Amino acid sequence: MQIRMQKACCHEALCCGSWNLAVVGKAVDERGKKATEFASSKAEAVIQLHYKVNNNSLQIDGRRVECEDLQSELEPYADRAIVLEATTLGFAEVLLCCLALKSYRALHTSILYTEPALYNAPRRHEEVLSRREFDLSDDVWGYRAIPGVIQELQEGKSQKIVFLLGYEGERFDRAFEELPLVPKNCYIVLGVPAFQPGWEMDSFSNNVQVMQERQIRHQLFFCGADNPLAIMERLERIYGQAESEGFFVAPIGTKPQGIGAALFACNHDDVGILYDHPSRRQERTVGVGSCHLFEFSFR
Amino acid sequence: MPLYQFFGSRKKIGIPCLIGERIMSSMSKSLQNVFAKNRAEELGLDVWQHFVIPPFFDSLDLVVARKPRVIMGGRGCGKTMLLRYLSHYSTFSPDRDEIPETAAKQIGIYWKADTQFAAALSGRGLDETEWIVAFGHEVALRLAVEILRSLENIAKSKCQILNQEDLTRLRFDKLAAFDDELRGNVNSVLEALEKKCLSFRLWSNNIRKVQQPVFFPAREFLKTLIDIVGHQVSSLQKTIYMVYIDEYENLCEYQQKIINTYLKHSEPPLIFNVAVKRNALRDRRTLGPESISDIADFRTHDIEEYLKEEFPIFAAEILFLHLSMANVNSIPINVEDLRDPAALQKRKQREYKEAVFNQARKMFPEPSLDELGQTVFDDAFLHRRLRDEIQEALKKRSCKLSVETFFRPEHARATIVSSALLNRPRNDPEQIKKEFDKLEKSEENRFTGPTNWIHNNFVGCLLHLYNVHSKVCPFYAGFDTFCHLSRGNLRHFLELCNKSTKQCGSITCIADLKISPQDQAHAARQASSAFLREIRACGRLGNRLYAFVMTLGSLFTLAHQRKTQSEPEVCHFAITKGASNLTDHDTDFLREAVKWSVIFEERETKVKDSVPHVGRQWVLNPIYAPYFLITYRKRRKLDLTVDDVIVLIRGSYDERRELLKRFQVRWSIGSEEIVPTLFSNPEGD
Repeated sequence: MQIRMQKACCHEALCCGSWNLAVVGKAVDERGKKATEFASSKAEAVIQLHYKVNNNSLQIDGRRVECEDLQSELEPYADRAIVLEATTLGFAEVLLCCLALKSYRALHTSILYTEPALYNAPRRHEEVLSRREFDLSDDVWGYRAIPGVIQELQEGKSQKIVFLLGYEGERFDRAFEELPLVPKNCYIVLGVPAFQPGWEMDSFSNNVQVMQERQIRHQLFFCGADNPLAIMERLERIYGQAESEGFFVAPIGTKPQGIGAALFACNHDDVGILYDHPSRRQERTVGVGSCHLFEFSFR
Repeated sequence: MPLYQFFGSRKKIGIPCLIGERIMSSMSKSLQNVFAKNRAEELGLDVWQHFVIPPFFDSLDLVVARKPRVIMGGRGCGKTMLLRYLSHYSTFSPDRDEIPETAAKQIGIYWKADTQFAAALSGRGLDETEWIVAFGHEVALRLAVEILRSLENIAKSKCQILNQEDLTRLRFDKLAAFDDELRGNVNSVLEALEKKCLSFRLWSNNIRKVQQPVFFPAREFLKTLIDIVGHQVSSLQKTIYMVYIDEYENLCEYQQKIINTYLKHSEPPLIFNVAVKRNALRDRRTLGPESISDIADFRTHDIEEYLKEEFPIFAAEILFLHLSMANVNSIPINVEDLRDPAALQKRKQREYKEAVFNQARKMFPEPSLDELGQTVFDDAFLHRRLRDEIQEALKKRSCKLSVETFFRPEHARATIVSSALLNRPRNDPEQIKKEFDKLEKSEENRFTGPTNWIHNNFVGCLLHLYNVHSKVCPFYAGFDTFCHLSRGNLRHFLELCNKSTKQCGSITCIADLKISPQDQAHAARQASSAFLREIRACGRLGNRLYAFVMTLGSLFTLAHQRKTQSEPEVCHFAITKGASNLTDHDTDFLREAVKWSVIFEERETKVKDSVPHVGRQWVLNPIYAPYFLITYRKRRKLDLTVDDVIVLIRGSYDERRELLKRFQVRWSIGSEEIVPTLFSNPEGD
């Protein structure tokens, strides 16, 4: 799969035409609002998509749709241009859209993503020792498989699990709390370079403790936090290494990493996705940073 | 124009690899620790070598009772370890030199469902009735595989009832009634079952596109399998298969109903048991019209309750087992006794316990109260701070007496307490001086005797002094203190040991192993910080539980900051009154906090208007005490209004800060004192 990747200082600076359909999520912060406005302004039609974790279903503009029916919902756009607005869509929505679209092999798909200027760390300036604590999520559903990428973890089997890590170390910790994971089977990918110089230290700091506690010593890799292609390539390499009885990816880092994981999962039917479905906190970020457009085709 | 635009991969980045190496080398230090593996999951399914028969083992009534068991307890109390010990992996462990034939009377089948997978088996346009059958199929497949693996383990073990040849001779053709592929010997059936698991996963991924497999009815299928085995292996004819389902609470509602149904209809040769956290067995409905009830359908075994009195000796034995496995000599236990249920009585003897405690206390010495008082005088900062506080109090009282009148290093504890006494308007400084003089002359006085100012105030005053500089306080050192801090949580205890012994290097004899109180206190602070961070990963409300504990802990820290120490050592709260009531969601939140053991709920009996009234109070988990520099001893209670508790539960960050500021004003804690913040103390390794 080829991916065309653009990065620009603002949405207007991105080289893109118009789209027939924009799939957006609910904006919880300024960058989300800006991104939705941009995608909507360039699309003939807009739908809002939301994954309901409690019943494993979707809502399209408030209407319940089963995940299995998303493909037919998108059929009218099978040979048209679609943009997934990934700033506001959650990982699950992006993944389900990619899975639904991959059967329409002629389609060109774009994914728009907007970085924030800052993440919400309320104690960053007040309390030196808590400067790396971020308030990005409210309640977290916990790890629940997403239809289409369901695989079963089994203790005692040699299954590889690749964690794509971000700021929230507790999400990494939660995986060990909830799932039958064996630390020696775990691989770590950290987002380096980060969106902005220095941000990678927040990610290290918040995850290294868990790595230490769980004794994950080796198998540590680095890929650009904004580079889905690098993630795909890294995952391909790990996937292709040794034989295993199962391969899982836990995209709990940045959205571009998640996009890489989603595209990788689209290429491999036997890959499971481990995801904890955090509900994004209102005003979780401040301002608007760089904008990305990832364009690809499943051909 | 875009900042960049290209096809393909970017170049590899070099610098971060250095950072990666640094991270890895810093982690390798902790690997030398013998206590590093403190979760059952880290030990694998066979825990035979690591398991210590707990003091309550006989209460589980494993030999005679046929009623399903609900093993209950908070995080880290040893539920998973117990279940894994009871499973065939440990019973027929290759590490076990002798296995009696009676071991096969009951075969334990351990199952912890992959809850992320199980959660996907719901909704998606299928009726719940269809999912019920599908989940039953999953149970049938998983447990059937485990039953066959138990036979393999028996054959591989030193147990005489079944050998490899016997195993390969077993035929399972009768299972073909369920599916034609299920026939032949144990290997072919295992292979066929694995294929069925794969088909089930494929179907669960694509419920519309892939043909639905034929679902097996779990109990019928498993009973048939058990029957087949019993008919061919006479020693297993009367065997009872005890299924132990771990982390029941993580299953979906309908899946819990299925398990409840299995519990209700449990009978030999297939009995279901579950392990749950506190407050987690709430939905007792079955698939039928009935519900399950305690005693009638199952018996609850509250591990934490069982361990309450016996925790210190159990913790010490586990400590020494770890050291023994690390080849440390002269430990005061016999490892074989720890693994032998018949040796339990021997381990309950007073002489044995004293020997074990003595050694544990030598390893983790606890400073006396006098020694704790002396630490203030040995530390330049604390020394000066104490003098300043006394001086300030005298100035506030417009008292002409000199600081030296109350600053008497030979009476460290009385001096420390004096600063609080001088801050209390009711106490006349002259009178305090007189009492001090009497103490010095060993006459009857109020510092000791029935009033006992020292006993009532010393720890509060000590923590107040240490908190000013966020210093690590040796109050948290000592084997008994570690047991208090752990409050029935073995993982917490082992982590305290792990952090304490980190720098010890290789030790060959137990006598060489003595951790200084200061190192222990450092370890307690580190462990406390680490467990505090873990709260975020506690269930769906993890982030809110974290904010709740941070605010509550900060509130208790503030309470310790009162100069008067009029209510020293506050670490629990009760809800008194308020303008509104807690909603059901708030009550659920408190229940969730108890479920994850971040707080403990206790009943309190008080008499109001001559009428006894049973109220509830909540104690902060003492493991967080070293982080907040507060007491771990349950002494005094903080009465909070409903509105205060609502802020703790669901207040915004600003509302929480406002609450703390309000208490700061109420308790007259001046702005020159430490400003209460939600995150004030240093942490980390």
